[in-house]
Amino acid sequence: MEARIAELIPRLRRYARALSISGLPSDGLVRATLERAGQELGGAQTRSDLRGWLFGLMHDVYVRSLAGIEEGGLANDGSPPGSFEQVIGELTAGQREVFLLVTLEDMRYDEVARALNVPIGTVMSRLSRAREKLRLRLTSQARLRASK
Amino acid sequence: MRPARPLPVGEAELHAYVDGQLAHDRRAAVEAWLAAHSEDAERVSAYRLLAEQWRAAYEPVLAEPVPRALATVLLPRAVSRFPRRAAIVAALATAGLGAWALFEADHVPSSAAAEMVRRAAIAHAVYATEVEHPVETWAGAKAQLLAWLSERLSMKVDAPDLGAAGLSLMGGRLLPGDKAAAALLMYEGASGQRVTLYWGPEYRQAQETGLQFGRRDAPRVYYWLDDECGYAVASADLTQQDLQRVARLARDQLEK
Repeated sequence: MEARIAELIPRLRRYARALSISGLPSDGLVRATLERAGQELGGAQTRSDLRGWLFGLMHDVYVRSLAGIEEGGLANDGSPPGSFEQVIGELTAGQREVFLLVTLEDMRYDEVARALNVPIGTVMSRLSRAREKLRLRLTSQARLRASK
Repeated sequence: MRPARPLPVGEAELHAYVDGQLAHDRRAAVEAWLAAHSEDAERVSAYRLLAEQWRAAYEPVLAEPVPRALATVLLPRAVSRFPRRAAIVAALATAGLGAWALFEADHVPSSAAAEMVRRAAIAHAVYATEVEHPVETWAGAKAQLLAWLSERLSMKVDAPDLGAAGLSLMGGRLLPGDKAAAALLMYEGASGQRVTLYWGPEYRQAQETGLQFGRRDAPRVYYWLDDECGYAVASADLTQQDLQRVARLARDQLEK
């Protein structure tokens, strides 16, 4: 089980990197997620959907971490204007999660709903809002560039 | 009975279409809708572009080495780790090396790669210091050596030409890996510096890694994994820069 989780670490890191906003170190998210996973592994359960379970744990960690950070001032948090980090910062946390799980992880909508523990209708409305906000940024796509 | 009028296409279906999650029997209806509604068609292509941009921007994270602090979070703690280390120390003591305790990888992208780096480092430490029997079969019988190793590893084992780095093939040997056979080729330079190339087919993985730095302390290790085999180039004699050059030289010939 630990080996199968280890194989998923690069994907957890990718998601955390894209999800993270400044002031929230992305590897810290991964670390806290893995620690949670380690604590819960003690149970005898076999995880048929290991990926969904891990991304669900990261969701819990993420939401808790954000509670400690002032939401709202995120758009102007010092990220380079037009960077992926800054653009994603304009979405709500829930929109960010849904958009990134669907886009980076190719998760099915029902898997996203389970991982985030929300109804599938909420997944769809968040996805729709996230994409509309991001689409409006496409006009400035030339300025979009990756940042760590 | 008249055929049922197709249901109008909803917002959720446009997204499902973008994400390849649309029910098969709705595909034609959505495509017809998009053909008739250019604004929605533009949104769909914008959404696809967004997905491509985000994937491209974050794809490189997958190839980054996993920081050690993360890779070790889930390792079984002292209880199960200690006997393994003790076993390594014991094995090395018998090999006349004394208590050279730790052969751990510095940068650990996966537990499989870390294990291979550790094995390659141990193999180097044990055999490169051998005076009488550094190799099992000498390079004089290179063709037979490579044919034999290829047969035992069930893949084509080749000896890259490292002459450009002043190294020539001494020979090689068969090694036990974790669950399968591995091979070690040894090279030597004019001043006696030794470099080993470890072949571990059991560490292969679909996702190629590119050349990675695996171990800082001597023996230093560079490695890469592809879908056929895991490879590690180790040396206790070369500087990191020189070893990297040698590893590149080897990889360029093996990955072409």
